[in-house]
Amino acid sequence: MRYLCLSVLLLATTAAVHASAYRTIATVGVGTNPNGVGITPDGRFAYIANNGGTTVSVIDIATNTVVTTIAGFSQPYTITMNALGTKAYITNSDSTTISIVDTGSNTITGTITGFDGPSGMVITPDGSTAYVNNYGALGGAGSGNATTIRVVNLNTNTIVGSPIYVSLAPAALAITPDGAYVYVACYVDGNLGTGTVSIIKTSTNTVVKTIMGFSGPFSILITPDGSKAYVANFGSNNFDPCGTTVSVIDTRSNTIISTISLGLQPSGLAITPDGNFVYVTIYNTLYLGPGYTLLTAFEGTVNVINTYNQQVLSPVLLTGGSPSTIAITPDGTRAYVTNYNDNTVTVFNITDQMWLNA
Amino acid sequence: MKKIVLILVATLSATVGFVNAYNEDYGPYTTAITAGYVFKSKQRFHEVYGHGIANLITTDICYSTCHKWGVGVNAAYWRGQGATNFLGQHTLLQQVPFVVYARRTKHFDFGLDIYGSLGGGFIWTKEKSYIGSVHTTKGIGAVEVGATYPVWRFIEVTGAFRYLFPPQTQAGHTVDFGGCDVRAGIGFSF
Repeated sequence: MRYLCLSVLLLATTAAVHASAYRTIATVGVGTNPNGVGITPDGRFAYIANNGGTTVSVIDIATNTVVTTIAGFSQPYTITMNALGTKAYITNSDSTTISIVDTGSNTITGTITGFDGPSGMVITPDGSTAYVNNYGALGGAGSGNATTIRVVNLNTNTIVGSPIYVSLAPAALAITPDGAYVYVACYVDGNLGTGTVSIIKTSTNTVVKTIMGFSGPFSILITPDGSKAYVANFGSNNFDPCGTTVSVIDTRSNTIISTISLGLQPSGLAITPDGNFVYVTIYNTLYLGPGYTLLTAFEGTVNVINTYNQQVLSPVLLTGGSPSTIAITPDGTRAYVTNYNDNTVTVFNITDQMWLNA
Repeated sequence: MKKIVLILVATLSATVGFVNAYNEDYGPYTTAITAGYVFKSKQRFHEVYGHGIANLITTDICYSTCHKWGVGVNAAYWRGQGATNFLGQHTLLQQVPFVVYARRTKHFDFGLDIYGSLGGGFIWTKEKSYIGSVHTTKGIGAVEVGATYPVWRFIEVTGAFRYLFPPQTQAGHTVDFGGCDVRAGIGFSF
């Protein structure tokens, strides 16, 4: 039965190629294992964290070419831009630091220390404070074994206050538009139903609620109006129990209001600037063992969810191998997807049109 | 737009010399209520709506200034629903063409009338989807051929083919605001 299901999945993916191939604008070669994407607010540059190495690639969005490669990181994982686009904060996932890059000179101008495998960062709307999740690193608690969030004063670039304890393996975080709450997706052990989302109130820096019932959540976003949070249930790297859903949280009641079925291992999330559509990368890479050799390393896809009714739309975008993260340009016309196992970034035209709006 | 106005003025002027109220069995007025389908030619339209949109109603009144010539006005309501070309989200298109025309009619002894019309006017267009709402008004020309046949007293059946032209530029793209309008219905003479 599994073979049958996987065959159907393969056929569906193949069929999607023809429907979506013309949407691909460019495939850009970057460093090893690209993961995080940060796009400057003016939409001119995309910064790519090459997690398998020590570099960050900078792509000129006008030409979709790498214009510079910045060295000096340690398994860079995510990239967070400040509101002005003058600084990029890069989490060094196997270390204790976050590097600060000046986007004008594309040089590292500072380092924030004191973390344990930092793997995500959000900045409050006033730009004064950041929240960083410690996933854990070999030199610290061990990868996936940390349980804390740290608060950073961005004026002094230092950690302030005590650690905020959440569930095991905080993998990603998102902040509400008003800056009042930070939602933290905790991977825990990756098994179905064991993941959590912890909600931190930023005025007190305390966890006010923990939502249960996720399956290896690995990314999270909050809609521009702050009404919902989307959580990608990546699940385990093993076939069983591999995640196949995205959970939707109502941020007023802080309950899961919908669970959307997608492909294998939903990984990255991005939302269009108007808040109408969520794009989800389907990582789709399985470690199945010898008997499943031919079915490993599927090409990944991107699915689209209508945020109005939580329906998965028919367009399926075909990316490279193991698409991990996605970012959408501020004008909502382009999507940048990092293909973790292909060392490439796929650029999609996601412009939607009716008859007269060209 | 200037060309359309010129065509309209020329055709109307040509009929002025025939202003002798035509009075056959049921008077000089002929009206019609018809419906049909409007085919559009541009690929961009096809991607969103298919081949065309429904002509839900067209009303027409023509005043015969003599045995063969007449002038009239024609208004219609076109409506179509489609899907955006990438994400497949609902779109609604509404169009209202309004045309003033001059008409030349040929009468056959067994009751059939065939006619040809040339005119111009404007077409109001509104399109709406999650992307937003666009509405515009464009000048338009129209050439039409049709036929009527009496079925009972002053009631007629009628059919027509009309081409509304030309495609025009909208936001850098060529857009077929008009199209080929095929319709049928009933008419009344009085």
